[in-house]
Amino acid sequence: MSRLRAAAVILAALFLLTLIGQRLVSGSLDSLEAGLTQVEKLCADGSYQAAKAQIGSITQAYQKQQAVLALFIRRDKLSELENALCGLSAYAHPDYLQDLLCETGKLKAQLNGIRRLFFGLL
Amino acid sequence: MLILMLRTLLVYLLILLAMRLMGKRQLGELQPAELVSTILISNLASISIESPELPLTASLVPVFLIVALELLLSGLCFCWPGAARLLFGSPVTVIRNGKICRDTLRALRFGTGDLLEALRGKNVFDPAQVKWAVVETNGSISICKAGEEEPFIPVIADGQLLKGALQLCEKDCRWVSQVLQKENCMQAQVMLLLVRISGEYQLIKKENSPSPQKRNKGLWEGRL
Repeated sequence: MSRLRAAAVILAALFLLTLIGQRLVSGSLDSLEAGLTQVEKLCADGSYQAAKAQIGSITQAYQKQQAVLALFIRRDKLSELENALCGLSAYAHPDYLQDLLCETGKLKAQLNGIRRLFFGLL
Repeated sequence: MLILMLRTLLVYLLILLAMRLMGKRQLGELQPAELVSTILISNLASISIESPELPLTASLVPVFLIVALELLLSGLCFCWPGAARLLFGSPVTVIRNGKICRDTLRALRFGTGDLLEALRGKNVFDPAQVKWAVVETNGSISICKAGEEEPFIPVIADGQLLKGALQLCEKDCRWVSQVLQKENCMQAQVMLLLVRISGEYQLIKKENSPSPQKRNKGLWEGRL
């Protein structure tokens, strides 16, 4: 019967890990998406310096969380996202507004892909 | 490379822990559910070793979920023998007094050739030499040869009356009640009641079972 207790402990631990994973991944992806939307808005308003600072802060925040996210999401997907984020600040310039919007759109699509990968049942 | 080695070591140790948790049942002949979990675990364990881009949780979470389910399932089967019958089936008699039960063989999808092969594996070349043959739930065959002592058939196991076994040893519920009355115990108190067709029986009460064996070092040296 001690094995039954072990099974209950394993199930509880897995349930907890799943809950933590769901919250962490959902929270990180939501904050990234919100940050990208903020960048688009700042650029549309002509605040390119503020947009650059915003890109820097979301990239830093993402890099801090990346190690923990790697427990739940494929590393190659996380690296692709990091590469795309790092190159984004180069487009925060009045001449490249369309390119910036295109890149943020691609990033959001990537985020959706990761969301589907993690939360999708089928 | 170092990370790969560490991941392999970690997966190896955790799978070892998982198999240890599942117990000795997993290491002998497997029941269908145990076979499924063993195959799944071996495949899942290789995923995170082969694909370094995948998180370790991608294989460890499913492995430990299967282990937990396997443990719960075995606990369920222990507490409710009906669940065990549903999941693993029951032993089935295929030869009785040298006669092959054809309908049973057909129900098992067991050809005569398969039966003879299984008998040859037990050094029996003529079914007429077999007094009683049973296909166990794991697919293996157990036999009692003619001329050997009549086998004991379990009629009560863990306080549960096995009605199929009762028919096999040509007894009825009234006979069991008489035996229980004679032995002055209730059915629930019986761990095992083994009966022969001749009427000879062995009754083991639950309170007579020895206390659990202590896992001390002296056991390895032959001391208990």
